[in-house]
Amino acid sequence: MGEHTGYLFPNDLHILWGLMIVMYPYVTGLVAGAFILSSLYHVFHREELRPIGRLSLVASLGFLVFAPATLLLHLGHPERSFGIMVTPNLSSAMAMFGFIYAAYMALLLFEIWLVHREDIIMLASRSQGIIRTFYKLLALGVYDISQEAKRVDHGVVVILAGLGIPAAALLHGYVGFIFGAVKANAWWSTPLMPIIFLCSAIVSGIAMVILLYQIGMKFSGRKIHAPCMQSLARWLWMFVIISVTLELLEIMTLAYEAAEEWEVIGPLLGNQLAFSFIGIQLIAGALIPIILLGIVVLMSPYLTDQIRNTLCFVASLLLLMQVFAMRWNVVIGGQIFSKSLRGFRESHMPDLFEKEGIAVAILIFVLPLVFIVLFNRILPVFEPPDEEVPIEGGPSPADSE
Amino acid sequence: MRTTQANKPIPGCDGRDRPPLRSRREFIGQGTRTLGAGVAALVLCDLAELTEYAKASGLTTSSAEPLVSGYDWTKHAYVYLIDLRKCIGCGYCVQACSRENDVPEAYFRTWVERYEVSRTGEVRVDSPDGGMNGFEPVVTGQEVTKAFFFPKLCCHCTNTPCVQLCPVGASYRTLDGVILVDEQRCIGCGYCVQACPYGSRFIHPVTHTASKCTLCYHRITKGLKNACVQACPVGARRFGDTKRVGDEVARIIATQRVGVLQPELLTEPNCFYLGLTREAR
Amino acid sequence: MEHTKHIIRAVLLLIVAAVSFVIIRHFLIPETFGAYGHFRAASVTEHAAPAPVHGGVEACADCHDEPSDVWSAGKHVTVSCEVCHAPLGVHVRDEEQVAAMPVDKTFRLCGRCHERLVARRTDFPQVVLRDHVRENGVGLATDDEMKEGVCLECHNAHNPSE
Repeated sequence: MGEHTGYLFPNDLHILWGLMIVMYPYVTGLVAGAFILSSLYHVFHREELRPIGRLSLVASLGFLVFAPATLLLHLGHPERSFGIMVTPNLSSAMAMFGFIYAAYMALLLFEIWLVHREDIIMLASRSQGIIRTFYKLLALGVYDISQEAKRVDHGVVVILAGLGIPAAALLHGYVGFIFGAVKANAWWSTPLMPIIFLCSAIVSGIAMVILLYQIGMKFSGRKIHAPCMQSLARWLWMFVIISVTLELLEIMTLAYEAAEEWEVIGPLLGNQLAFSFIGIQLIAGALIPIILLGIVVLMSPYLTDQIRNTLCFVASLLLLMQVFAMRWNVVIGGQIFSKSLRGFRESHMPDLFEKEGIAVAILIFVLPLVFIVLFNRILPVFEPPDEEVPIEGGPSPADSE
Repeated sequence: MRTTQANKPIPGCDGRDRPPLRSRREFIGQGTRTLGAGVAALVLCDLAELTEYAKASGLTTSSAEPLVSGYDWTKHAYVYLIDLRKCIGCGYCVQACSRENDVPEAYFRTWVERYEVSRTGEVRVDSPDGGMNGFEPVVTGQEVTKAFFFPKLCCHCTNTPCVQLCPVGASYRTLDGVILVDEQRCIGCGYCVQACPYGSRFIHPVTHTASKCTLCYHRITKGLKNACVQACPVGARRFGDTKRVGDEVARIIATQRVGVLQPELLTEPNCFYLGLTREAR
Repeated sequence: MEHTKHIIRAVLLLIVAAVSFVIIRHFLIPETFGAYGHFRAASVTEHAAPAPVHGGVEACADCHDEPSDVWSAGKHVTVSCEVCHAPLGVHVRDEEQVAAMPVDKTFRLCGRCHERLVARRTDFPQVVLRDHVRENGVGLATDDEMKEGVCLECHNAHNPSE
C-alpha cells in the first residue's frame, strides 16, 4: 500500500482510480486529437495536410475501438456497464459516455467510409470470391463513383467533419468535466479542466499522427512531405504552448490565492509528483519539445528535411510522454492527498500483471497501432504518391520518388 | 472490359447509373412501414408505463403497495445529531456498526477521529482503525490545549453530489431522506466515492459495489434505533425525525447552534454537530 | 438529389441501429425502476429486509432480570448490554440460545472508556489505570503489568459504584 503521512480519512487509504483510469483520458485524447487534426484538412481545407487526412481518421478510429477496454477493466461489475445506456442518470457526466461514444463512433465510421468509398469500389471490382463480397457489402451495394457522387461525398464529409469537431471535443471534454465537476476534490475541481484536457488531447493526437506518418512513410519507402510536416509542427507547437499555459495558469492561481487546497497541492507537486510533474510534464515533456518545435517553426528555411523530421519525431515522442504524465498527475495526483486535506499517500505504482496493470496498459496502447496496420491492409491509409498535390514553393511530388 | 465469370464489372463502375430493382424499393417501403408500426407500439408501451409511474408516486388516486411492509416512508424525514462535547472516543459505535452491517475489515461506514490542537494552533488528527478498538494515549511532545473526538458518518445530504454523479441511478435518496446504494445496479465505477466530500463511501472488497452508512435502514424501518446510536454510552450520537411531532433532535437542530461539515459546498448535510470547531473538516 | 443513394443507405443503417437500441433498451429497464425517482424501487425493500443483529436492552432483560436490575440502578444504565458483551444474534437466535454470550473481563474493556485520554472530556470519569490501581492498593501482577481482571476486584461491572 505504501506509506502514509499525516492524517487520511479511514476510507481514503486506497487509490481507487488507477492506471486504467489514467489510460482512458489518454486514449480518448488521442481519439479526439487525431480527429480534430483530420478536420483541419477535411473542413478547413489545409491542403498541405492531405497526406495525413486519412491516417488521422483511421488513427482516431483505432484508439476509439479500444477505449472502452480501459473502463471495463476498471469497473467492479463490467457486466452491468450497459446500465449507463439503459438507465442513464442524466445529471451524471459519466452516464453520457455511452451515447457520446456511440454517436461519435457512428459519425467517424460514416466519415471514414465516405473518404474511402472510391477505394472500396475499386477494390471490389478488382478482387474475387469472398473478399469481393466483403468489399461489395462495405460499399452497401452502391457503386456510384461518378463526379456528382464524389461531390455529394465531399459535401457530406465536410458536414461530418464539421459536426465531428464538437463531437470529438465532447467525447474528450466530458472526461475533463468528470474530473472538473467534482467539488470534493481540490485538485480536480476547476472549470479549466475540460479545456486543459482537450488542448492536451489535441497535442497528443497531432504527436501520434506525426509519429505514425513518419514511421508509415519510412516502412513504405516513401518521402515525407515537408510542407505537411512543417504544418503539423506549427499546429503542434501552438497547441503545446496553449496547453502548458493553461496547466500552469491553474497552478499559479492556486498558489497565489493560497487557499486551503494549496496546503496539500503545493506539497503534492513538490514531493510525490515532483518527478512526473516538474520532471516530465514541464521540463522533459514541455520545455524541450517547445524548443525543438520552435526551431522547426521559426528556423524552417535553414533546416533540411532530415533535421525537420528528426526534430518533429523526437518532440512528438516527448509530447506523447508528457500528455500521459499530465493524465497521471491529474488522476493519480488527485487521489494522493486525502480529502481530509491533512495527509498523503505514497505515490501509486501499478503492478505489471494485475487487471489494471502496466502490461495491460501497454497492450491497450499497442493494439490500436496494430488496428491501423490491419486497416491499411484492407483500405489504404495513405494517399497514393502520384496524387500528392504539389504546394506552391514546396517540393513537387516528381522530386520525391 | 472483359466480362468473365470471375471478373464481372460492378454496375455503375463505368460511371453510369442503373435503376434500382422494383422489388427492392417495395421491400424498403414495407420495411419502413413495419418499423414505424413497431416504434409506435413502443411509444404506447412507454405511455402505459408512465401511467403506472403516476399511480405509484401517488399522483393519481389509487395507492400503490408500500415498499416496506408496515412502514410508510412518506411520514419520516430523518436527521442525525452528534454532540461533540459528549463523545468520549470509546469507539463502540464503530464496533456496533461493523457487527450490525457486516462491514469488511479496514473499511468504515462510520468512524471516530481524534483531534489534538496545540497552543500554537497545530492540529494532529488520527483515527486508529477508525476508532474501532478505542484510542490509546499518544505522546506528541507538544502542549495540547484543545482536544476532542469527532465521530463521522455519511451525512445523507439533501443535495448530495454522490447521487448527482452516479451514472446508472444506483445511488439514490429515499423519500424518508436516506441515501442508499442499489447493490444490484451499481457497476463499481467509484465515481460516488470520489464525489463524497466527507469520505464516507468505499468500494466493498467482496461485492465490488459502493457501500456506506445506510442509517441501519433495516432497523429504523422496524422502529428500532440505528446500531451506532444504540451503542453510544454517553448519548453523543442521536437520531431524529423532523416529521415526528415533539422529536427532541429536530427541536435541537431547529433551535440551537448546530453546524455541518463543509457547509460552503452546499450539499445540505442532514448530519448536524453541536460543538463544531474550526479545526474540523 | 440524384447521386445520394449510398448516403441514404448509410443513414438508413444508422436509423435501424438507433431504433433497435431503443427497442432493446425498453426491455432491459428493470421492473420497479423510476417509480419514485431515478432508481430501482425494489432496492429499498432489499435494504429494509435483513434481520437486525443487535437486540436492545429489553431483549436482555427478558431473561436476565437480575443483572438488568443492577444495571439500571447505576451509572452504566446508558451503556447498552451489547456494547460490553456482544450483539444479541451471537447469543440467541429465534428465541433459543445458540452460544454463550462472550464478555471481556479484563481491564482493557474498562480502559477503553475510562483510561485517561487528553481528548476525553474532563467531566467524564477517567483515570490513568496504572496509577489508579497502585493508589488503591490492588496488586499488580508484576511491577509493570496489571492483573487482567484487576478492575473487577473492586467494581461491579454492571453498576460500577457498587
